Amino acid sequence: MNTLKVIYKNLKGSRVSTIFNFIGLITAFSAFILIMQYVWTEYNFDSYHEDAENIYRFEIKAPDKEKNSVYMSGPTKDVIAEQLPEVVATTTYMPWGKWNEIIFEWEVDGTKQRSYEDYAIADKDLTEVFTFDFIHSNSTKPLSEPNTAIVSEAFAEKLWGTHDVVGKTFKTGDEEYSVTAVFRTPPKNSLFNEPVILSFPTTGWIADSYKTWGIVNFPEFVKVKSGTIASEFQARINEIDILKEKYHFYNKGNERFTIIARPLTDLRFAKNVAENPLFNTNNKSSVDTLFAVGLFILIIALLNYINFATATLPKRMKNIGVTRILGNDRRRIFVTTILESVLVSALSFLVALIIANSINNQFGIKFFEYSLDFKASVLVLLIMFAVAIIIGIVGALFPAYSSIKVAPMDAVKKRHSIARQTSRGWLTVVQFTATILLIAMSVLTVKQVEYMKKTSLGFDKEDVMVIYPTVDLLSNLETFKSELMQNPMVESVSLSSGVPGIPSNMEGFGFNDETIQTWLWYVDSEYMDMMNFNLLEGRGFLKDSEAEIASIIINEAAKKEFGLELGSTLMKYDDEGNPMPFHVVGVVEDFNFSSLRENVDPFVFRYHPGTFVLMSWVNVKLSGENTRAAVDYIAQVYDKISPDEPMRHYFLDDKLNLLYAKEDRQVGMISLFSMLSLIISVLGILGLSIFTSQYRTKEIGIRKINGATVGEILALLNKSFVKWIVIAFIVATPLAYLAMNKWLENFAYKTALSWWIFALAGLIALLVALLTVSWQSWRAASRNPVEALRYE
Amino acid sequence: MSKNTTIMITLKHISKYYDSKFQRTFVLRNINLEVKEGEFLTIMGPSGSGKSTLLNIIGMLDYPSEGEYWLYDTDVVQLNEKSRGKYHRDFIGFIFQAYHLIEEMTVYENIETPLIYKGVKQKERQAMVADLLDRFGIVAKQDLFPQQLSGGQQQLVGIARAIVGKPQLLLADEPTGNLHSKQGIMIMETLKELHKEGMTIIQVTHNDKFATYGDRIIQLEDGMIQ
Repeated sequence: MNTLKVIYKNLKGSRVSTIFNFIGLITAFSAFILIMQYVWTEYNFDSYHEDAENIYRFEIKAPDKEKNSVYMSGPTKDVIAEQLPEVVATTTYMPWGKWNEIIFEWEVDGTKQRSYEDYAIADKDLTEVFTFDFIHSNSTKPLSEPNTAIVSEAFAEKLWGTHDVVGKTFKTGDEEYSVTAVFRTPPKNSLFNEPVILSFPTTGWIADSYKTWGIVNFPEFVKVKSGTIASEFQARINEIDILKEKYHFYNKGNERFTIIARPLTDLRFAKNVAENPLFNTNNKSSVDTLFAVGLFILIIALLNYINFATATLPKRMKNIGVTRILGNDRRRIFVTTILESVLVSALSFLVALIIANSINNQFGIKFFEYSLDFKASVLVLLIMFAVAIIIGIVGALFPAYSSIKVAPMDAVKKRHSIARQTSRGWLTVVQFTATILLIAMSVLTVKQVEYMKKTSLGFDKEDVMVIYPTVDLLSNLETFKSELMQNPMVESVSLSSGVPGIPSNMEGFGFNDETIQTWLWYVDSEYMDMMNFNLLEGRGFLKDSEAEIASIIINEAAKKEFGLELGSTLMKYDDEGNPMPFHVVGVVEDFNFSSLRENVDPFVFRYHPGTFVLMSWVNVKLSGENTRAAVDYIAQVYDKISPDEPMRHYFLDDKLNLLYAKEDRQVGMISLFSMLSLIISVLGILGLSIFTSQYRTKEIGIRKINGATVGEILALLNKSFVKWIVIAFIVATPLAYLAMNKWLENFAYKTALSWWIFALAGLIALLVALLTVSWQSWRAASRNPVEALRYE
Repeated sequence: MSKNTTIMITLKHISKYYDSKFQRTFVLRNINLEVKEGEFLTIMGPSGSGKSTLLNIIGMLDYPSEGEYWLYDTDVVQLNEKSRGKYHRDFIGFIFQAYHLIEEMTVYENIETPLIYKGVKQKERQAMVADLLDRFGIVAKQDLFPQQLSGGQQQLVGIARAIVGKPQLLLADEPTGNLHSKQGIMIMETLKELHKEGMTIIQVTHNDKFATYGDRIIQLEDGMIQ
């Protein structure tokens, strides 16, 4: 108890450094907790599945493409399962709600309910490959019957207010599904987190395309026997003759497509996979960088802590000396010093935990894509707490040892050298190197995101409203169109099977006895005009011409990669095997139909009259004036035609900006941590400047008496700090340059690495440092020299 | 050098006090004093009698609470920080009991410091410092640091630093307080020399013997001139 009292008095006695220590440690621990929780979560994506290490996803690697596709031909997995004995189970999992949520209808107490929901489609073997924690279930293979569904606990609660919902039914479109099992909601760090999974359709176009080799559309997974070596497994897959034949698409230089088996636990950090909304990836190197930043912040905070403890030491030494003369023993002093530090550290950690938690609650989704689940990683928290305690001990060792090393009388008379340790410039250099690096990085990320949002994509994205199709709307499209066109605020209405930003649907064509794979959208005759694609050669689609069904328009990439030109003929075969030739009638300039992270792939527009069977988006180009009124008008017309489902729409430019949500998050995260780093560095430099000016009090006084002005003293005290910041700038610039280049590699289209980014970062750091130091220096410089000399 | 009768310093009803909640504590009380150009004044008095405070006020390091302080025809009380700094650079030199040398600087650098603040060019500075080193016989010590010198030598450096800028007024706060008598005599002899050359000197001392080096002695007790 007495010890606690002594500690309390010590802390109160050196109030300034106590406050700085708390601020520094709390800031650092908050950052550390958030970062470590995030890193841990990212590294454990989908690790909860049993035998996670034996589960793989198939991907197709084209010979001359950097990025693999996750879309396989339906029969692939069955062929592999048949031919390779190490396969335990295979499944197809299609989280298609990520493309487009669909409307669900169900009943609660006799009342009809409807809402748009995220969903996936999977075959019966899903539960053989992936682990589901079923709370209720009527079968070991709950998706084996047609029109069945398994739902998450949260989804069941949402729809029916209870989780015991086996046997309940709901409808999507014309299909009715019966719930056969309820599973515990999977952790947030899972790519398999759709709330409802529908059994695979047995009829219709999905079922049909699933059976053909020509359509590559299906994410497929496999579980193998433990002990299977991934590379050998993959090699054996690529030796299967049927696959060799079927995946023998367009082959410049006779190279064949390769099938890749990617371990489940690598999916999150998969690098060379073409962007798709189904499986959100993250950049491993940025997670690793963040981990390093976390450790770094911690080390810096520790150094600051030691620095402060040392800075206040001379003042304390005298008291310690006096108590020793009065009979206090060295061991007690040592233990008290350590205990004090551990208490400060532990208390800071607890406060930091509260702060980290509220930052997570407020901004988790903004920064991390999901809010972190602290409860799921209590062990990680405990380890971090232990780290905090260790920091407390380590931070106190030097001051504790120094304070008992000096003989008591020397301590009282200040005959010791502790006050002389002023050469801590390297600490400032390290801190500000990190700060400048982080500031530069956040400026660059902002710049890149702005660049991506503002770059011309090769079409007009402004004032295009995209309406989700409904059956009623598509069957009355002409009426809808003509009514809309009566309003001068509507410029044109068109249909397309894809929308920029969502690279959907790849198809194969025969060309010169080979199969070429290309992105393909069906569009009507107005779409290309509406979007203002730049036609380089040939013509656009003719209006209301039956013959146009055989016409296609390609992009430059297709022209270049496959050697297509105006008049080239591509072949397709219908269900009976009859040839259907397509002629290239136009070439458009490459446009970015997916994010600017990706290069432009070969692309084909196919003319389709009327409405399409598949997904058709209704695009409405507005005049751009009074958008609000235009939307209201369109909604009115829509409600007359499709009264059962409320209109869902978005504006193309908004949606395209959302493509950069990942980068927006990075901007948020990097800005947050550069701010924290700045705070910690400022504390460090503040401590140092207090330390310095305390130590130089007498010198400052003498200089003033000898005629130095406040300005001259300020310059004297600030000079060394400026020197350190300049060194930090010199060290940080090449590091920042390398880091930025590395980060920009993630993008096919990059902003310029302008010199001013570095200059700005350096200037901000210098300015903040100068303000901080000057505050302290000014206090020292404007002090009455008489006092300063009396202090001696 | 013949004695001049021009009055350099005039203090009228100078008081210095500190107010606490219930009482006012006087350090100096109604001091009236004139110091002529070229005078060597000794201020004596027991500990806490206000000697140093008076010296600090004269040296413009402290402000009086009341009263007038005229330096020739300048009203010192009205001077701002900047003008005071100018006087420190050009007019006043200080010597302290504890020498107050900058420990990280060599003897040479310590003496040179005031000249830097005065804006004297380097060539000139070299000559001026060399002059003083020579005069005080410490040329051999110029590259040493203060802690490598004896107390008397340190105080010599202190005096050298105080007069290198050729001040007209030299203020010495117990310059021999930390020295044994032999070194004390040496320092007092040096001050006497400077006085002879025409410098106005005000010293504070405890030492009766050293007090007599001055032309005039005033006794301070409880903040008042006796």
